[in-house]
This record gives sequence, C-alpha cells and structure tokens, in this order.
Amino acid sequence: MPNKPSTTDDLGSFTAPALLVLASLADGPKHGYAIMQEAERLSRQPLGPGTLYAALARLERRGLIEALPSDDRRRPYRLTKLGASTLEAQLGQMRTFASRTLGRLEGEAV
Amino acid sequence: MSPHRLVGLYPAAWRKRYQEEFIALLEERPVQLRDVPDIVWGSIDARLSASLRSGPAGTFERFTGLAAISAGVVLLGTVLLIAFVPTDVYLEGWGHASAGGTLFYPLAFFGSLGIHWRQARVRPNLAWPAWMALVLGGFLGSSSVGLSMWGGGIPASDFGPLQAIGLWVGSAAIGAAVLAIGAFPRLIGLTFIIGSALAMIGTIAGESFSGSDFLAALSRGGVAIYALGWIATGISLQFAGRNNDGWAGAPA
Repeated sequence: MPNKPSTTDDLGSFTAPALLVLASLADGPKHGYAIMQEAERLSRQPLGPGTLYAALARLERRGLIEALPSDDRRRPYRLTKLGASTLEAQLGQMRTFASRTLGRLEGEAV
Repeated sequence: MSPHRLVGLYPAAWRKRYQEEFIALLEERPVQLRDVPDIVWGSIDARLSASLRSGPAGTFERFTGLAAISAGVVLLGTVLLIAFVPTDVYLEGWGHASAGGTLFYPLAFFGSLGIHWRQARVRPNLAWPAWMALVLGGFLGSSSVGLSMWGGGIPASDFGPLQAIGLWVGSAAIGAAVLAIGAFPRLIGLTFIIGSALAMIGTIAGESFSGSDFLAALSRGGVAIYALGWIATGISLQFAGRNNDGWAGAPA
C-alpha cells in the first residue's frame, strides 16, 4: 500500500529549504555538503548550514528522509517512500500553480 | 569562529544526534561570516522546536510539580518573612523558620517523586540511586534548613554535624542527579548546589561570627536560591520533559 503523501505546510519558515533538500535527494543519497551544493545549484541561492540542518532534522522527524549507515563522519541521507511521494505531490501542486498562472498571463496578453 | 564553538550553541540532544556530521560539514566548507547568524538562528530553532515538541505533562507530574512549587514558595516566603519582618524576639524568628522547614519537607518530598518520575523515564539505571540520594539528603538537610534561614548566631549545641553537612550533601545530591541525568534544565541543578552551599557557608561561619549581618544575608540568600530551584523544578514538571530521544535516531 503506497504511503500517503505528507504535507510540508507544518515546516514553518523552513518549508522552502525542506523542499530544496527533498529535491536535492531526488536522484540519490547525499551527505550534508553535497545537499547544500545541489540545493544552491537548483535555487541559485546560498543555503546556510544552520538552515540546512534545521530542515534535515524536521524532514527526518517526519519520516520524509532517512540517514544511512556510514563509516565516515559525513552521514548520507536518502528520500523515504513517503518523502518521494510528498515531493511528487508538492511538485505537482507547483506545476498546477505555474500552468494556471501562465494561462492567466497568456489570457491577459491576448 | 571555530565549528566546535558554533555547534556548542545547539541543545545537547541535538548535538548527540547531529554534531559529528555538522562539524564535518563546517570543516569541509569553511564557515563564512554570513553563516554565523544562520547557525545562531538554527540553534535557536533547535531549542524552540525541542520545547514545542515536549507538549503537556501527565497528571502525576503536574501534581508533584505543584508540590515542588509550593515547597519553594513556602521556603522563599519564610526566608523573606524572617529577613524583612522585624522581630526582636529570638524564639519568634526561630519559630517561623521551624514552621517553614516543617511544611517544606513533605511538600518537597512529593515534589521529589515528580523529579524521580521524570528521571526514571530518561535514565532508569541512574534514577533509583539518584532518588535514594535525594530522599536521604533531603531528610538530612531539611532539619538544617530552618537553621540556615534563621542565619548566623546559632548556638553550636543546636547545630550538630549531621545537620551541618545534611543541607549541602542532600541538596548537592539533588543537584548532581539533575545535572547527571539531564532530565531538567542544568540551571535547576546549579541552584540546588550553589544555593545550599551558600546557605551552609553562611550558617556555619555564623556560628563563629555571631550577629554578622553579612553571614545572615549569605545564608538566607542561599536558601532563597535553593527555594527558587524548587519553584523552577515545579514549573519544569508542568511540561513534559525533554529526553535524549528527542531527535530522530541515526544508524551506526
């Protein structure tokens, strides 16, 4: 039975960084520094270490990501099934929002 | 600023879970000036979210918390009464202290049950010895609480060695257990240790320098700090405690 997508609404001021972290992990597990680099590449905005770990802690607590065993001090994280479905649902909402807004703009332009 | 100093801003439970990888990140990507406020904000968020997740306490903790608050209020009220209500009658001052100490002990005993309840959930292996030390120390110390509040000039014959060490040993045991188990804020443990130490120093020295206002104020101030420790314990018991599992576990 597939996991019901969670919501990121209760992530407070860390909603946007949390989405970036989920997006960064979409193509496979990454440790903190790699997540930070990928998030910065995706958003073209710097992601501070304090913000990153606040988002990681929230996502891990909600079961959206999980830490993997590591011999290194750097601990990799990966999306859980719930995290993947939540990311998919969030991106779907964004796509709907974007297409509707673009439709309005195009309608106005005509 | 060094990574170790910055990570020290975070609460202990958070550090237990994330410290190593966070420091590894800060070593891999050297800290920039703009990171400092970001990390400070992250540490505040970690503390706030830990408090918010604690939620309301159970009935037993709230009840024993009220007892602890009452114990602190009785003790604080008594010491203020003795300090600021003028009395020329030797026995009257002693009577206030004695009544306050008598009322304080049963209230503090019930409060101690709440402390034990909280500590047993966090570190069961340490909680029983801590509670035994707490009750024994409380029993030994309570008989000298009244003497400390009265402050200075106590005849040596009224102040046995058991009472003298009881107050500090008992209270230090409470404080040490609070610090060791970590189920309560560290400040509470420190108020028990420091408050009782000041009270003991002021009281014992008061024997040698009878009538010293400074020593009387020192011992009363010590008891006041100790009383505030009980009030803070009671307030803390009104909220479910932080525990070491507050942050999600990590694989080895």
